[in-house]
Amino acid sequence: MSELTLRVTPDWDVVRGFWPVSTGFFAGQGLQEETVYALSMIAQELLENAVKYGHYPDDAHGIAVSLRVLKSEATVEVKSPAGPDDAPLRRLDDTIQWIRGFQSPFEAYMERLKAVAMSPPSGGASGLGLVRIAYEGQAVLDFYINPQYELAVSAVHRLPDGSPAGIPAAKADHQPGELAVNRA
Amino acid sequence: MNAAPLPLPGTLFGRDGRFTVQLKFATNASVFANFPTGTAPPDRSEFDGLVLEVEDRAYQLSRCRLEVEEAQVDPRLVFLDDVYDFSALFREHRMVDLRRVFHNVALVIAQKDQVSPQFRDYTANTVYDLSVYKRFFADQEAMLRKEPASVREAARGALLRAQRTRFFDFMDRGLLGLRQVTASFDDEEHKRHGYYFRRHVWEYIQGAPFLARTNLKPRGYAGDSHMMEMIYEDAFKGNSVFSMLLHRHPLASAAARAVRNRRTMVPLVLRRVQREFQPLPPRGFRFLSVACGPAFEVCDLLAEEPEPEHFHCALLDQDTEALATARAGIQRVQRARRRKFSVAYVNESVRTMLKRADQVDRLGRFHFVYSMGLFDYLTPPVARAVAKRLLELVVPGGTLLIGNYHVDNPTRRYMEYWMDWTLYYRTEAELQALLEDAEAASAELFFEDTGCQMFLQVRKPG
Ligand SMILES: C[S@@+](CC[C@H](N)C(=O)[O-])C[C@H]1O[C@@H](n2cnc3c(N)ncnc32)[C@H](O)[C@@H]1O
Repeated sequence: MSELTLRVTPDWDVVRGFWPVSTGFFAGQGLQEETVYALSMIAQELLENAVKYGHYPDDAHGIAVSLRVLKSEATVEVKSPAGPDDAPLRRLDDTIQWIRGFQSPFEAYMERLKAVAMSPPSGGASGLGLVRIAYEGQAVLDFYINPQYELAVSAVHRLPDGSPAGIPAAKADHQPGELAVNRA
Repeated sequence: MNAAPLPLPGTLFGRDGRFTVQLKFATNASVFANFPTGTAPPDRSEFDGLVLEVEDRAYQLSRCRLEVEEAQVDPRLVFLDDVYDFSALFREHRMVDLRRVFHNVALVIAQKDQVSPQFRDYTANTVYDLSVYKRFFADQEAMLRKEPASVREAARGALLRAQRTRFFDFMDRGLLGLRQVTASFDDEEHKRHGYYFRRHVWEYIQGAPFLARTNLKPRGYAGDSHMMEMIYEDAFKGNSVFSMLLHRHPLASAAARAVRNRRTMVPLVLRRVQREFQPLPPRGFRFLSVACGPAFEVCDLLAEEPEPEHFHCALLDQDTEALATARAGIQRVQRARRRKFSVAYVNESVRTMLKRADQVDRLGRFHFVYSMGLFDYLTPPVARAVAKRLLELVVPGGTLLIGNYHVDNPTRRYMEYWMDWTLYYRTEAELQALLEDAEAASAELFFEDTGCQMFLQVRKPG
């Protein structure tokens, strides 16, 4: 297994700057170009969601992102501090179950586009970002809240059989769980 | 009936100037326009557009014409270039842009270009064969239409009995073909072809109550307690013989039998664990079902156990309707046995229950914790966190039992293509990996009889 774990400040510029980090990591695992793109897009979407919806009362609260590649799957997990309100979590639970209720994320994507065409007047989250992760990123979304009250949203992308991934990265200095780089 | 929606303010504009109007809902595609500040322009006046104000938003609608109708106080506005959904606009304050919706049609149609020719043939043949069967059964039933109800029922029963094997064989052959034609597909291809397939068999799916429910997911997720009840019940349901057979066939699949198998297996494991803790005082043996659904196995246990007072049972589910079904079932057993059971119902999602550090204080600890039909929906990061937390809820020496469908589930493609029901399948190693870091006295993995579903049983050190 290869894993890269980073702390990221909840700042748009830092998040935008994450793209080369994720492409570099996934490409380093020998993944195909389109898989690298898909996984980096997922990381970007999840990070943007974390900036938008996370609760950051002070500088001590940041985002933790981890990129993991195993033989049969690659995972992007983003943790951000959850707010005190339960309602958004329930909505997230419903949305994720709804997306995963379609064998074909394309179907979920079409349904969501239809809903967006019906422009929600309240200006709330359209949920299209999550559907994009499922559809364009071909990944299974999930989440949980940990006892530190962090929202951990993850997307698991199944790798095709015989994928070169799983071969440990050339640089083995990123051990699972280790805080490799602290950007915060 | 719905109350009439409130009027919305708007402005009509065109050659003859601007007119402030109050718009009232008329039909799905038209509105009535009231002119509060003056007389209405004459019949058949045309306007370049209408600006409509909904909450804090303004929408510009395209060219429209005023039509005066005798029976109506206010003239009607009909739209000349576009079709609008005024029902959504007035009732839900949502603007449906049908042009954008139509753009999506092209996207859907483009999907078919990526469907393999063999799969198209397979689908066409399946649809043809299904239509022949449907027609055959419909003809038989048509002959019975004039018979008294009792004769019709008896004849239907005879048809079902006589044709079940033949129809099930036909479906089984079809599913074998499905497995063959999709054998080389990767994950993405399965998804694309599944979507294509369901579009073609939709008419048949809709008629079969079980298939309709797994596809439509009225509670927003697959595997709700009503679907589970249908699996446990394993009976004919539907408005026609054809629909009844199509409803029943998936209930005979290996995956459905595996659900029924776990109903008998769980009480057996529970009793084994219970024996290890005997003797315990009343309500002394505590067990927890996580994602309990209708909890039929608990009803069985409470119905059969000579001394059910020894149990305290907690049932946890995200869905209040599932808990209501479980409660109703347990109350039925209580009434039948004229006894009172100790049962707690917990409405919570395992995804968010982890946030409570006081979980153990709140729920207490249990001698036996089990979860069936849940981990098949949790991806590794979540499944690992949930499994770890569930083990914390087990008393020393107690047991945690987790079920998960195996990657080689022979019903997998049937579920995905026909039922639109995907699971997170695991290998033995992947299931074991969920608790690889946990402190365990023993960890054992076993299968039920169909081999579809495996169970990880972990004993906590005493
Ligand atoms: C397939 S059914 C299994 C029910 C039952 N254990 C059985 O074997 O009959 C799945 C159940 O899991 C529940 N469920 C799904 N996700 C859940 C979650 N995150 N937390 C709690 N319950 C959940 C659903 O509401 C549903 O009742």
